[in-house]
Amino acid sequence: MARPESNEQVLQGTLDLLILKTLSLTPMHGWGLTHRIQELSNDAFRVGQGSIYPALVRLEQRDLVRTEWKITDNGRRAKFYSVTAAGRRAMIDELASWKRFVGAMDLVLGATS
Amino acid sequence: MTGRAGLQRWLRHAREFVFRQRVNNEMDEEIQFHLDQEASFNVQRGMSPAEAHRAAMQAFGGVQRYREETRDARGFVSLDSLIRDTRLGFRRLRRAPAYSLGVIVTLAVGLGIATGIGALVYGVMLRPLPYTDADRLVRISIHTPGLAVTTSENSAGTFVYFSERAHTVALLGASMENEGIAITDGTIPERVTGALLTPNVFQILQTKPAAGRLLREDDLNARFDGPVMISYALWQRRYGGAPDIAGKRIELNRNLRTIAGVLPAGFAYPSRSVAIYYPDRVEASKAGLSNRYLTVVGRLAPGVSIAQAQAELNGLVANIRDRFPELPADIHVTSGLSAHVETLRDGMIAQVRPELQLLALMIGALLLIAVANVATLSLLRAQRLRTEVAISRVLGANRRTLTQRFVVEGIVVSLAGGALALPIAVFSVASKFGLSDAQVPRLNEVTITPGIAITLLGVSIAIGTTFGVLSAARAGSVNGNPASLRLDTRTARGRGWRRAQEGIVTVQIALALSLLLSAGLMASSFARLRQVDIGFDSANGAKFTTQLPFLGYSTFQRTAAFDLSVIDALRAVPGVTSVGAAMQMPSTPQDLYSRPRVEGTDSQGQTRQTLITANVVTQDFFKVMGIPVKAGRAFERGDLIAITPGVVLGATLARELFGADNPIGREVRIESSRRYPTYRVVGVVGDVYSDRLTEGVLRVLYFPLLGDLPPGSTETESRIPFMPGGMNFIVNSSRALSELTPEFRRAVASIDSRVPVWSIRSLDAIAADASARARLSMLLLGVVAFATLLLGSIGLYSVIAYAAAGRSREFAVRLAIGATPRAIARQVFREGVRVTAIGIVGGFLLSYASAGVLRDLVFEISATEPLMYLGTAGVVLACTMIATFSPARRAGNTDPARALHGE
Repeated sequence: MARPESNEQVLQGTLDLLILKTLSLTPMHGWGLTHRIQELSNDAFRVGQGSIYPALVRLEQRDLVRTEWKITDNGRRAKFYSVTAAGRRAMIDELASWKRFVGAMDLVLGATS
Repeated sequence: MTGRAGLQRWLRHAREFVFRQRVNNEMDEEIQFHLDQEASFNVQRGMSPAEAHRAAMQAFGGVQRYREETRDARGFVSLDSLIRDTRLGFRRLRRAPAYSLGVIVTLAVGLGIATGIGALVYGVMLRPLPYTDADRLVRISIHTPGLAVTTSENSAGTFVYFSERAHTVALLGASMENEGIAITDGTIPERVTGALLTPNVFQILQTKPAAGRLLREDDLNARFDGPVMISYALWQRRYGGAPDIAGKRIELNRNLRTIAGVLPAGFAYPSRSVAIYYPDRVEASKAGLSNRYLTVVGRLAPGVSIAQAQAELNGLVANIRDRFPELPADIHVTSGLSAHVETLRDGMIAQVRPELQLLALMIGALLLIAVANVATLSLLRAQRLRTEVAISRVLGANRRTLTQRFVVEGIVVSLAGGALALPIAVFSVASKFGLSDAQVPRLNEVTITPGIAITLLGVSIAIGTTFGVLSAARAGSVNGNPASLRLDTRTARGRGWRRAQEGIVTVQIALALSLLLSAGLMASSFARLRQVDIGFDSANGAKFTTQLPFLGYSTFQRTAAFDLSVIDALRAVPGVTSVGAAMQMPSTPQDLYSRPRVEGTDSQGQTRQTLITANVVTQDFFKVMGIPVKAGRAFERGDLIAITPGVVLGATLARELFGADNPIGREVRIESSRRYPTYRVVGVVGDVYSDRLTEGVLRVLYFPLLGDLPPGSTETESRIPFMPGGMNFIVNSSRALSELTPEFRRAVASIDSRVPVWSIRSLDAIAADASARARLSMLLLGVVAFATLLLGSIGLYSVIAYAAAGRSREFAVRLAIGATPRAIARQVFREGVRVTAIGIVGGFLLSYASAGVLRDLVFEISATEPLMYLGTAGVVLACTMIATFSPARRAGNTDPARALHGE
């Protein structure tokens, strides 16, 4: 069951944050979410699109997102995700620590260069 | 995570698992939607449909993989793999029958017997009584070690005093049992036990009548046909449960009474045998410390603890002369008067407490051994699986999966053991371990409740889980590094581990030995009890008991005349060779109220005092019972009317009063006898016992009951301090008891048809009963000791066998360089013996330390009997040698080539 660690796992926490941030703007289904993340990041994140689904399930189980089946514009049933209040709080916390992390990285990297 | 969030999450897991088909379908639908969406997006960007589809799959990055990962994220994996692990567990356990059988047998025997005995101990000792707020009910007893009274009941004086002054006990009620109640209406007089009680006893116990009403205070004012209550059993038996029972008349000891109501089924106060309840009032003008017969029950005032009540009573006892100034100050001091408060439940079980404590200890020891066995077996198995586990780890299995695997295996075997333990427990409770209701109060209330069964299974699961986790920790203490594969049982590193195993087995052997020793002591005590000369010849003997009503038999003369007439009537029965009568029968419970203190002075003028058991017997009693006359003579006509009436002493009493002197012709003085305080010893007879042989011989003083006084004599006072109104008649006859029974009834009815006859028994049956109690304790201990020895041997066998098997390479090398198979076998065997020897020494120490528990239960035997120690050690050694023998031989037969290749 042990799988080799991949860069996806390294990015796990980051992916959660990206999903929460993106969903906090507007509820959407999984496909829309992958495209929005790619758009917003100028296609910098090109991980397998499928990887958001396990992430979404984990977020749902932590009550950070909730799901709802809705009919899309083209008349098909799709699962829509939106951020819960707890999700919003978690996102703000995560964002803050992310910014601290980035700031620290900047300091260190700036110092060596 | 908070508990509630955890619960919600768990519930969602459960829901998703139950509906996992639907959840899976939805997931597939979602993925399909994603792919379709992506494909149509690609088409819009100018791809062909086939190309667009392929690109969508590629962008998704492995549909199957993400489907699985999503499922993992949902937690299905644990439940799915749990089922898989269970199935695999079963398969693996089938391949390890020695381990599985060892654990299953251990738990079935250990838990089954422990649960059975545990249910008994719980039902009798720990379960609340069937009264409202039963833990607030207390019994108050009185102790006077300095007086010639051995009862712990209250006197009317102490009861009245406590009722008036005690504030910590809100209500106090008194009761007194009277076995001699005859229901004299109807054709056959029936003898039952009655109780006189203050009506507030029902208030204290918060009783609700099954029919009619409870007794009330104002019932005490009724003059004729006053109200009584009857037991549920009597209502059913004599009145068929008639609903209109209240107001019916009943004739008791020739007095008409009115039935006010029926007590509920299961009501057992003051005892289960009571059938008639009379209201009574207790008044007292003096302390009356030597006249004590009242059983006192009370309900603690709200918020008061037992300790507070005890403290208040201590104060009251110290000041009792304020209330009863007539009590001499020196008697108050020398009597050692004290009052004792305990819960009603403690009071009820006090008589069987030593046995129950022993049982509780036995359960503890048995469980300890069972758990130790499971521990040994599981850990040894884990030890052997280390290589296999190390391979799994290298191949990528993670620690959690391995732990789960071991835990599942542990639960599977332990549940199987627990499930088998259940019928064993049910059977042992159904058999009641051979006990009867009369021996143990509340015994008939003992059952295996669903709660006990669930607890049993829960304990099994807990044991399985614990040892699963421990085994996993043991087996998985290798990491995923391939180098760890070399690290297995065959190397020297296993030695410390083996020491721990041997330690466990040593403890088991010690416990087994100590239990076996206890059983051995009980058995030898029992054997001695069987050999004890009970002091009378039970062959061809039979007896029955009568009880005269007070009305019509209020004087000694009339009572004696009845007794002597019955003897004459019995002499006329064909086949009866001799007839006697006695107030008390040897080898039966002795009446506590007939224990005055006597004093004798020997020829040197030395005076000795002792408490005696009084008996009143007719001229031929010693002959019909076969009790030998050791000195002097049996009673003769004239002994009763002599100026100094004659008495006969039991041999031990004679020795205690007069030392080496010849007691014949000496005088004894009886403290409580006023008019005739002095008697002359005319004979000494052999000793007899009460129903409890373990308590030793009775110190009996026999008073005569003889037809000395001429009919019509005006003398109304008895010359002996007892009224022979309830007598046992004994006949010697070769006829069967069933033939004699109607003769007995006819003989008594020819004198007075309203006098009940009961307790018709052969003397053989009485003699056998006396050892029943001892037999019971021995039986229980024997069962547990046997189970323990079995489990201990299983433990030793597995340790030796596993240890030997694990060292096959060492043996192979030694065989290859010239050691003989015999030498190898001998070495393994020696190690087994070494472990056993340490265990035996430990067991001796344990037994020696716990000898106190047994001391109350064994008869004329020291709880530290050396021979018994040796014998028990021999049995344990033999069992463990058998357990060691086959692994040792197998070690000697190791095939060097195969063992070394196996590496």
